[in-house]
Amino acid sequence: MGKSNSYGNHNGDSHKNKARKWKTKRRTKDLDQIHSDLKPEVATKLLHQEVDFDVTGCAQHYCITCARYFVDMRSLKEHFKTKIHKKQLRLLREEPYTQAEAERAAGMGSFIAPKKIEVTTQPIEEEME
Amino acid sequence: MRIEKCYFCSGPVYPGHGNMFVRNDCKVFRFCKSKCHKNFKKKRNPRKTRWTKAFRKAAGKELTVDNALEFEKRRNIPLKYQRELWSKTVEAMKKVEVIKNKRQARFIINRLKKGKQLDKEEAIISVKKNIHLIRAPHAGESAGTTNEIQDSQGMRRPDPHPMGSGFKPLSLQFIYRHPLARCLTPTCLLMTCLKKVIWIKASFIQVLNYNSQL
Repeated sequence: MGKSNSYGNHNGDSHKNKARKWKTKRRTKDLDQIHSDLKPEVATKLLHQEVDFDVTGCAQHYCITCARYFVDMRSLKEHFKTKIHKKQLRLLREEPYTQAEAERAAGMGSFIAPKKIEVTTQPIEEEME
Repeated sequence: MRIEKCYFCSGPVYPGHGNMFVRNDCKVFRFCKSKCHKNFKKKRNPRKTRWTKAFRKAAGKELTVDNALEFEKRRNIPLKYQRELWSKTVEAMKKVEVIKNKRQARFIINRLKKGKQLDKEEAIISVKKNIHLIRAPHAGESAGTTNEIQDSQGMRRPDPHPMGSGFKPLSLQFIYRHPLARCLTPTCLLMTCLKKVIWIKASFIQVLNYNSQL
């Protein structure tokens, strides 16, 4: 439910800047946007981006499910093992929530239960070359 | 002009009310109140947030599949204004609303029936388990008691406590260890046990008082 994703709430400054964190300009990708990213044609584009010096790791090491850039291959691989990444995978396994579903829940048509979607971590092999 | 539905809680968004957020991919999100907007900003899942309609439907708390729910829909088909159709539709809406409310209410009542039945079963089991608190284990073995107490099932049965022949005072340790003993206070002559009131004779309380003084 509404619980914090972090491991602990006492360390660090994360709890001080909550309001700033939720500002629109800092908004990160929503789950439905990530679902559209996971489509193969979009995914290949995202995994093979041009070198961009403004982005972390020159946009060469990207995790699609978490919508995050990493410095190098090693840290990307480490990230795949983390709780944050695994949790994101779990959240993505459910069909994204839409306005249509909100309307069905409001009594406009019968409610359809959300489906399960198979989501796995992106393959690493091709990037090893 | 249209009454939209809130993205988060599925409540109505009347013209001039609420908030609208347009994401940088042009997708529009409408919110009926700042509470919904804030929860959206916190990336909460409406299906997991207990107060939203999406949660209530997904968790089976409310009627989900019914023909009465099929009337109100976004159809996206342009219709030319016809006075007769308009007035008939307004009439029909009232009727559908009545039927829908009835069905939804019936669904909730049926859903709650299960819990009531389980509660009853549990109450009977624990009364059976704890009956020795009120009725001494060997009560009624020897004849001669005329006093009666009323137990949880409304049955009248012989009361062994007012110093009848079958009466055995309970030990202090035994009473204090028992979870139900907390209900018994010197001033209280009623023990509320499992939502059902069980009468206890004054003599039993006196025994308890006597034991606590020891």
